[in-house]
Amino acid sequence: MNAQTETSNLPKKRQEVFFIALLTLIIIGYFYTLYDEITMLKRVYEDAALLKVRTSVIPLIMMMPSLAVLIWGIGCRLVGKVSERSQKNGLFIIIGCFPIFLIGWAIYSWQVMNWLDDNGYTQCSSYSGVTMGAPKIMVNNPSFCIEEGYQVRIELLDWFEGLYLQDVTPTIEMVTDKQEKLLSNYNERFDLL
Amino acid sequence: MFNVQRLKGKSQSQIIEWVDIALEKKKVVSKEWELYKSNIKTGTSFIPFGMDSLVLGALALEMKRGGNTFAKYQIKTYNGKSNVIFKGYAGLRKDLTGTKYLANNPKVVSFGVGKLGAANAIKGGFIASVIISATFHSFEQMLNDKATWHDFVGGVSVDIGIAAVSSGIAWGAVATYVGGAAVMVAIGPMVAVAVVVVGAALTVLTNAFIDSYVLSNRISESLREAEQRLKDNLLKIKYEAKRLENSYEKDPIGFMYRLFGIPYFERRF
Repeated sequence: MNAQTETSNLPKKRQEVFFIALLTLIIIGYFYTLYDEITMLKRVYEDAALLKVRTSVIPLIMMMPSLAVLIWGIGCRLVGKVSERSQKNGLFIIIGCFPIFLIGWAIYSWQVMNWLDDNGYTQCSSYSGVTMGAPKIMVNNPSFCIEEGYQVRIELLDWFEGLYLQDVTPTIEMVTDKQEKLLSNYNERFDLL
Repeated sequence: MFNVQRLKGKSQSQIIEWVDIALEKKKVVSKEWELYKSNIKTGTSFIPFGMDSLVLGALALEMKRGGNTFAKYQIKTYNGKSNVIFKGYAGLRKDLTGTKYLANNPKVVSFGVGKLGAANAIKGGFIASVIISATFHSFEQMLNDKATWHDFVGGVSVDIGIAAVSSGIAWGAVATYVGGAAVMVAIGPMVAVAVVVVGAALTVLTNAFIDSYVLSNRISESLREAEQRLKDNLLKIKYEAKRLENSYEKDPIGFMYRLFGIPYFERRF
């Protein structure tokens, strides 16, 4: 009988272990993204020509307790120590984190954009897509933001990144030339000439 | 609207120009759209959370009418059918005036109570996300001259894909956390709200982690390439058809011979 119960519980246990592992991976992934974002923001001090700012990443740390509570709760279920009260409290923490995250996001966005503005950066919407996670593209010279660069924005952003890694400061001529070249290649590739 | 303009004999570029003028007249200027699009999208993406919060508020209010905002409900199975039993004074409530309902009762489901209610809330949230994403990308295509249908399809599919995967993970994780307990915490759609909350956080995180804008761009480029290949192939087919037509007109008998692979020696015989 006991052996039967253990066998029937096996898929549940596997599911619990799977979600613990998945949520742990998500948290690790978050900290990797956070590190990436902080590194990007540090470039302001180096006066980098272009920045890709994702204002949601840093405030997202406020949602980490909710993921931690989920891992902890599933862990408790795994070892059979679940109480209704702890579940209820856990759900409160999970839901409660969200408004804090939203408020934090609004304040942080406002602050970080002001900070970037003070450091001479302006937003370039021509290089930003409309996908939910598309970062805000900030340039330290408004002339770097070329409206016609929309179609080749990814290649252009990669080019800016390459220049930064090579420690080369781009000039307006360089950016214009590159944009024209990329656009011409693009038009040629898709027969738009 | 576009068809009316087309019937008036306007070309595609003239129609686009007409839309631009109309939008300018209505003060919907694309520059402003460019400037605020990311903020608008961020704001609208939280509509599903707002919808669930409203449901949660409505249920809390209903429970309050019954005597206790945090009153409990139980899920019990009778004759193989799941039933939801509400505690408190049923007579004082406005909508949930009974003490026992079938779990699939539309009233119960609309309040987000039970597994079906939670699933309904999540489904509603997902559909809302799809509608928001599609509307947003439509605006982008209307107001941005450089955006094409490829960008629309690429953007919407990435948004939907990420929302679906995040909702799935959130649903699985919260369901595993809550477990199959018959007695659940009372404030009805708390589980649904938790799923929406975790799903929203995962959506934001996934978007940042996988660089979704690059992914959507890759999809739109693949579509452009596919369209280009299709155009080239159609051109080839047209060319081949023309060549065959010419060949038939020039020598119909020879054409039929060649068509069926029969050796043909023209006028030698």
